[in-house]
Amino acid sequence: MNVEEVDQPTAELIRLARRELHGDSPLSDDAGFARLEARMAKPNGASSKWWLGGGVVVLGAALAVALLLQPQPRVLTFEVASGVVGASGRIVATDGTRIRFSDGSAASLASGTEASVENLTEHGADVVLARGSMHVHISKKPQASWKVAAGPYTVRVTGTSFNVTWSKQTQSFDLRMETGSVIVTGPLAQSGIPLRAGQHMFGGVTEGRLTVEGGETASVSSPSPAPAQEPSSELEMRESPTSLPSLPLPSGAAGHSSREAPGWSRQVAEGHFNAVLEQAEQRGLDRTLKGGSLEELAALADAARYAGRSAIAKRVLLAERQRFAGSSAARDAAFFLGRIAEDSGGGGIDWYERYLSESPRGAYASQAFGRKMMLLYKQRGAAAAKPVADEYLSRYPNGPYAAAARKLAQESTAVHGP
Amino acid sequence: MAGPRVALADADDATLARALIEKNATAPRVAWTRFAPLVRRILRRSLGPQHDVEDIVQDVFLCLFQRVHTLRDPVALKAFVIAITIRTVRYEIRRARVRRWVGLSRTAELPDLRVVNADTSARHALIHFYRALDRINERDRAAFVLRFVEGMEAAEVAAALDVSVPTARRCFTRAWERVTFFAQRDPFLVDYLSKLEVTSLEEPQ
Repeated sequence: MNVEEVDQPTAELIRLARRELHGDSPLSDDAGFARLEARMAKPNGASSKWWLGGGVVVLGAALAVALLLQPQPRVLTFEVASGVVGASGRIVATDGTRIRFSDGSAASLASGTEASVENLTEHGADVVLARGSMHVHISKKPQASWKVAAGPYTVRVTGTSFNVTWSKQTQSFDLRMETGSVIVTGPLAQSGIPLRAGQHMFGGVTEGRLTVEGGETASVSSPSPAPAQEPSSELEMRESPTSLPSLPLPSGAAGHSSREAPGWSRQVAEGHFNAVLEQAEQRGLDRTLKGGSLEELAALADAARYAGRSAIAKRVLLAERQRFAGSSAARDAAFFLGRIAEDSGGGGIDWYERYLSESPRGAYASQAFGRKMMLLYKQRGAAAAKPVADEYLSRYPNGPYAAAARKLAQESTAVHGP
Repeated sequence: MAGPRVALADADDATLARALIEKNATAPRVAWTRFAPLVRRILRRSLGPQHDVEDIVQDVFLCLFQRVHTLRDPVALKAFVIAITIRTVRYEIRRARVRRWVGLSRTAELPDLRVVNADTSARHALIHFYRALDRINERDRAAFVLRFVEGMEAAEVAAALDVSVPTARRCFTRAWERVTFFAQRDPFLVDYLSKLEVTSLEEPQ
């Protein structure tokens, strides 16, 4: 098998590796050897290579011991004391119910409170307060990342203590800070309101306002601060078009104030797929789908696909097609919808055909042809796939599916004759 | 000292190997100049764009100088260097896996921009390609790199891995199939390759 003779995706990647990964050194030849000499001069420098032989076993054992001795596990764990934990993981508090996390963080729940713990990571978790009240203490750690969700409000936490209450019935939210700082997002606080020790936030959708009492509001770390957050001892935001904190709205959304676009395309290009998804979710996915620019939706769809969030990707791609019908991105969306349908076992042929009818010479035409051919072959056999294989070969004789198309055409001919 | 070093620099591999075994003072410098680019290239192509290989290159040479006396055929010095490099690669891959396992490594998400170009798509394609390689065992991976990226013959791959030629063939064939499988299921790589394909189709027209 010779890479130059094989026209396959893997061969292209190998050519990329050959081109990009070479033997040049950032150091000069002399500097590199000087470093080597310095290491050679160290006592037992050369003999330290024992690990290349049986030493690997010793190192492996040492690492295993280190593993055993290391505080375990990487992902946080928690336990619930004096409460009822349902099959779904929902915790219903009785007297003295307490959730204790392995990093020392804890939440004490008032009797009758319902809560759950989700998305445990090595740096934190999401504590979801469905109803009731709880006192939260988060241990201050580097990279700590916690969220407390109370109804539609989200409290972003690093290291702090506070009391939070959410009433499902009255849709009211109440947060009393004790130590540290948090950022609250939710209705009437879409851009995030920072709170510091001693401050008290209360209100909600029903009241049509959120009030912050005590001290001064902290400066906003978000690139799009809420306009109402002027230093004052009391902050009130009423639900009116003029006082609502505005979102970093998409540049293409008519009728909204223009703010700096979040640069999702760039973030996707840099591989920050989850960050883009998180920003979209913070903004509100529905709102993004309805108001986002074409560029943003395309970037969000890419981020969702690359992060494996197929359900979100599908929604975004469908929104692209609906809102920006006729655009290049909307046409491409048909191909990606075909990929998602194919991956989920639901077909994809219809979407590939739609893509090919809309973009017969588009960027993904050969892929769509090839994938349609393979799906037809799997679902209906070689005879059904042969016309597509023939067309594929006439259009892309050296394409990635050319070998499969030839094989398929031969198989069909052998069975049914020319 | 310049005289012998110049002479040794022009000498063949067998002469250099004998000089290393005899602990000729200029031999290490000549070996470094001759083989460091090869060793560095194999390490980079084996470990991927996110590894800083400079210290590992030095590890290879320290091992070479220590073990060169075990070389039975001095003519095979280059193959000996490659074999040490591959053993080091396999060790580094195992070590990286263990470090990820115990949560010690943070290099996996730190792209090394020095060794790749400014084309972010190509850079990410390369990173995704090496993620696919991360999913196969280190022997198959080494065989794949030597055979397809370095372009070595099956016999050379077998020698570097210290296995029979049929075993080496099985290793790189199996690796090819698995890398292809993973690459075809990586949305980023599919997009990247589709765009490349369109470019190459449009170029002649």
